[in-house]
Amino acid sequence: MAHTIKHTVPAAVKAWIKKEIALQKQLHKKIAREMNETVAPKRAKWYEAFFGRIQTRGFNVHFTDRRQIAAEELPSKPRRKDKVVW
Amino acid sequence: MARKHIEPFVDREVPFKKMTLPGFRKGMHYKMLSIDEDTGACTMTVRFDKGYKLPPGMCYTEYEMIIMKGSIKYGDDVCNAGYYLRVPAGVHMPAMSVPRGAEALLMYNFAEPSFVESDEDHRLAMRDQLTIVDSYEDLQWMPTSGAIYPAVAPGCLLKVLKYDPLTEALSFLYCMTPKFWQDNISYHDCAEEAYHIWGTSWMMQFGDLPTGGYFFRPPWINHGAFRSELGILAFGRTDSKLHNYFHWNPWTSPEENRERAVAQLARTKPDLFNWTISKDGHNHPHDFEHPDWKEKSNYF
Repeated sequence: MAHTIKHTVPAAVKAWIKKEIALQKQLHKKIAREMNETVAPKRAKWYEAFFGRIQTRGFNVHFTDRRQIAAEELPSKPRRKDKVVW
Repeated sequence: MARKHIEPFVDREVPFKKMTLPGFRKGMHYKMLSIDEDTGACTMTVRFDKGYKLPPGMCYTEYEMIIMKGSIKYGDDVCNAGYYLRVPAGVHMPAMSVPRGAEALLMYNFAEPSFVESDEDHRLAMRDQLTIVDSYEDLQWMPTSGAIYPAVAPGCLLKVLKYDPLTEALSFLYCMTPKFWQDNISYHDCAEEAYHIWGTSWMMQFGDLPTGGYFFRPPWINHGAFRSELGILAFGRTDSKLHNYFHWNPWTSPEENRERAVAQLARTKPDLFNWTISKDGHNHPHDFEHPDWKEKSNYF
């Protein structure tokens, strides 16, 4: 399977890749801060609402199949900080 | 990790940049959505100015493109919004012209973008894998329940555009109907990438993803519950088989999710699982059908 054909990458292209990777690292850092820290208090409420819905309307098991989750089946919040961007 | 976890990112918030790589002509602009740090493979939103032209040519790596606005001509063939193209490495395309301007999602799958003028295929080109299809007009929506178990809730529909028989990687158009909802948390063994062509959906971890919204998500990362008020139209893809692991614990880490996935493998394929964990050195995967297949990177 030749998904890529062997070739020489010109220096200008290598420099472009390097620059874009550096920008991606900055972007990732910014997104991680926003999602893991800024949005965290709002998300805690979203989790609570989700736990409410899966106990009443039900948890989506497969396609149209749903089941109600009992209160004792709900997970406890661990001590560690909630993280969603890795 | 080949690409960072970029989620969410909305391309409407950043300006286009001029494409200046060798071979590409003036009048092409891009927004970088994600890039593979090992190979330079990348996903971009691109804009071609009115009057943009490119001679016949080929790329050293496979690329995929879905046209979102305007139309692009290849020779005499017109590709309008909704056209999906998968162009294998080394397959030459006819002269390209963009009479009225166009915007597309463009993905270079295994290496950096390249363009080499040529009016013939490279000797290693796999032309039989060239795909050009009008995904809006020529394909119909299907529920995922026929192809994937467990499946997403009714109201999330697919059009499969590419299926790799070796890795089971998929590229697809998907939609959510208005008032779609799905109350579970999902993760997969594969990396997943998606772009919203139109509409807003919500995920419990990341909030709203509007038109122009994008994510690249490495394996085993929680996402969902899901909902969409007015519906969405989006393009998505995976780098290998997509299996939905559903659960309701929002605090699990990718490592814990991976362990749970392995536990499932041990239950569903116990003999294969036991063989692969063997420590005596016999367990080097070897595919007699494809002995030389060793794709190091993620599929894209």
